[in-house]
Amino acid sequence: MPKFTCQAEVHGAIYIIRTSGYLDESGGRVIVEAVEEAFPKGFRNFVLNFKGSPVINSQGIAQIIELTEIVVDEKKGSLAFVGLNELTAGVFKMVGLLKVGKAFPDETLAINELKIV
Amino acid sequence: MDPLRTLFSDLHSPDPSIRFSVLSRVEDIEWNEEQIAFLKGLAVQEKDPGTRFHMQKILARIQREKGGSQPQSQPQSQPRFQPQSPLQSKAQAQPPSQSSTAKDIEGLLKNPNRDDLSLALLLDSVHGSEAQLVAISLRETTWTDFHPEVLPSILRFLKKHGSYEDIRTIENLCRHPDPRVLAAAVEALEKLSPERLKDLIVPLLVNPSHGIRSRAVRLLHRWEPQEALRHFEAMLFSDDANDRQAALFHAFFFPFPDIEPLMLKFLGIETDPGMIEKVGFLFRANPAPDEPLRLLEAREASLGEKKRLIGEILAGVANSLFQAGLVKKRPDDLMAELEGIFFRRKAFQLMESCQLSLNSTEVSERKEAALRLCELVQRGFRDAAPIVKDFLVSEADPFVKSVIQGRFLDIQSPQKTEDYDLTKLSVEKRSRALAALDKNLIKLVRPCLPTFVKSCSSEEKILLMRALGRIGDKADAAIVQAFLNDPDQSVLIAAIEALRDLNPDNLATYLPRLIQHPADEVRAAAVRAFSLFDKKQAISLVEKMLFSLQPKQRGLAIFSAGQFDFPSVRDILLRAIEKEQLPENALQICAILKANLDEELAFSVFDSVQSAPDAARDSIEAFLSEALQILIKEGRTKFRNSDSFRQEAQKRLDAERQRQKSTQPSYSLKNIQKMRQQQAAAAAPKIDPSLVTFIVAAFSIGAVLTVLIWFLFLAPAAPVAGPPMGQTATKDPNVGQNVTRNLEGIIISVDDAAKTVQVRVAGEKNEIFQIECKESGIPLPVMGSRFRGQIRPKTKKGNLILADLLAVY
Repeated sequence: MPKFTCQAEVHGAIYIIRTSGYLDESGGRVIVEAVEEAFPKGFRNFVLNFKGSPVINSQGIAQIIELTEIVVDEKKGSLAFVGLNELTAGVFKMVGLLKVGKAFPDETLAINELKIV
Repeated sequence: MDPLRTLFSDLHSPDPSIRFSVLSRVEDIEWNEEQIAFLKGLAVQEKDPGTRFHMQKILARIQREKGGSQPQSQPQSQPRFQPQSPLQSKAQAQPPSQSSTAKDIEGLLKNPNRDDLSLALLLDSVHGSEAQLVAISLRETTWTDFHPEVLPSILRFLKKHGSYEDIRTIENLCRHPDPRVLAAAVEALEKLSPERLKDLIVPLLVNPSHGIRSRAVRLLHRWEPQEALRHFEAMLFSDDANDRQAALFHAFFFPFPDIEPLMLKFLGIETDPGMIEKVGFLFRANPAPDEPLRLLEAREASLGEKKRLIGEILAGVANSLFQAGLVKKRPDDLMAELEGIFFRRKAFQLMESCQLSLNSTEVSERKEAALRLCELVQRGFRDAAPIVKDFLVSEADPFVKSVIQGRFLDIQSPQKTEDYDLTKLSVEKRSRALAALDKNLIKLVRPCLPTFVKSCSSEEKILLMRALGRIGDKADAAIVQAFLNDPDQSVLIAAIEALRDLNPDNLATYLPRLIQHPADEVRAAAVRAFSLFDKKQAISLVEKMLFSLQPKQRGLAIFSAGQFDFPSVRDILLRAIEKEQLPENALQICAILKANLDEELAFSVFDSVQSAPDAARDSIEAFLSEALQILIKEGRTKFRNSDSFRQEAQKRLDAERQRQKSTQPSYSLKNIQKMRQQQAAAAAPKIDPSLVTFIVAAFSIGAVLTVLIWFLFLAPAAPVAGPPMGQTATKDPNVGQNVTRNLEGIIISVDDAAKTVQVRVAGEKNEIFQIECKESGIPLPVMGSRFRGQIRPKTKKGNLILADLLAVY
């Protein structure tokens, strides 16, 4: 199984995280850690690009829910999701994740949206 | 499978808390015109004012975001809201300015004639910088007295922006009678102070709303995962479809490995396509390399639409596995490979079961098992051939030996015949031709079949049906169907099995009658076919046979259970092995378990060994050792040797025993079920005569079938009223077909040849019972020992009562 990896890139005030591989519980934890590393640097707005993670399991979803609560509720920041496929978009809708972060077809649109916020 | 459509289907849930939760999950998505029209339609039809309010709020915001200035029209049935206030126009027409929102909200909170829809919309649009001001305004108001429709919006705001100061107020609302308010309060408290919910868990678990109960189960999982899973299981397999829907609604929030076995079982039993689709998302999002084989089993054990849906889930899981990099094979290749593995595994399971039956003391059982093995050889499973060869060497019965020898020879070296008009061939040639039929030869035989079947022997009918089941197609079902009225039970069984393969729909109308057939073997075959139509009822029928006092019935039930998808029968087989007295039957169960072995199952078998009857314990223990060797050798367990496995298993068993001994917490499933029963009893309505009319009208043919099966097979035997005193001895009220009696006494004689014992019962009557033990399979007790058991008295001769043994304890 290919190892789950996470890559971060800064775009102005926006922190972009791109994932690659099957996103399970440990993958979810890697994302949470990546986001938490960004807080001390002052970042509050995040783009999570899941294009490289076509499958996200229940525990991975639980980690992302936890993450959204930290970003949106605690840090009063905002989130945008990119690269969701039919399955992941469906699951995000079913668990209510699209209540807290909008989905975009590409990073540019997501970044533009977060800039307005 | 459109996930949004699946989610929207929950907007039709009869439970307002579920409809409310769906709205909360979808309200911020991007709505297309079709979805907006759908929501508008639902809002007009919605009878619950709170849910309608929420829908109108969403529609108003969508309109605002789309830049429209026209307000959402209020349905006529809702005069409570202001038709159109300036503030509402403002809230709907444009995003509120940051500086004014807090002020507007403050104004609304102070206004006793406020427009609640405007307040809800404004609360949703509060910017972070103003949130604290709004929270302070709320705290200065007794907002809990507001109309229940607007409370969820306030609670949602406080969930996001509230603090410890709001906890007490929110906690009070966690007992609110409106499920939407209650759900929103629980959600807010879960965020602000989840520990406070511990004290509320019991009232939430007994709440009349299915949605609230399932949310409570999800909450319980935070603190007591094992107990929560028991609740989840109870909801998932509830007879109430709303309970099942509610359980599925929250299923995504449980770790999938914990609920996977339950989901597989659910998939096997559930018939509602909508619920099956929802389960599909869980499987697709949580792919595991072992999963497709299990799903394949569920697919093969179903029919029609359900089969198609499970097929889709299976394809989706194969795709997810590939995409996630969990398997290297492309989905199509994986599916092809797995189908081969699945059918081979099923064949091996059957082979093992037949192999055990070849050692039976019953001649007919040996013959039947050998014929099934021949059938497997003919279907291409060559591994069965050496087993048949060995059997032919050891078989003592000359008739069985000659039948199997002939059949085996026909299969191994099929004799070609010049003429395939069966009506013109000799008996011997006909049999050989029938036994050797393959996909090409059947085409030559078909034209003569309508004439041939009118005059052929039972043996030939069976051969023909087995051949059609193996290589025939749907068109052949009509020929087989004619034999469903055959007086010969072996023909009947062959017809049922062939139709099950060819076209099960043709069987449906016959099954109610076949399930009542006096022969155990026919009933068992009918139940196997019935499982395709109504798995739940079929399992009940198998279960009843599995715990029968007749070892033969239990044996047939085990064979039938082996034909079901394993997750559906796993639990009843494990219960059965703990009660099974006959080692032969216990070994047959082990053969099924072996084909479906995994670590958790081995833990269950370990538990079974401890409680199994002495007679079968060694057999089960031997199986456990073999199972552990297999798991360790194939790396399918985390334990490196069987000792470490056994230590862990004992630890788990001790913990479970301790749990059962100790006082159950108030939120335990057992206690909650009791409370709900009491609630239901207290709230039981008097029977409305119109309800009776409704029930009569609502009963369909399917329901009649179910009722028929229930009364004939599943319902406990009705007590037989005794005749008046003073009648003849055979009319003794204690003697009769359906009378059972618990007996305690001393064994005064044992007849090994007749397999009977005589028991003297102390007391005024000084009765002596002669008990027939032949059919029970229980070893005869020793003379002079104490007897305790259940019997069924048959006749009475003076002081001697003849009886059948039902159970000893």
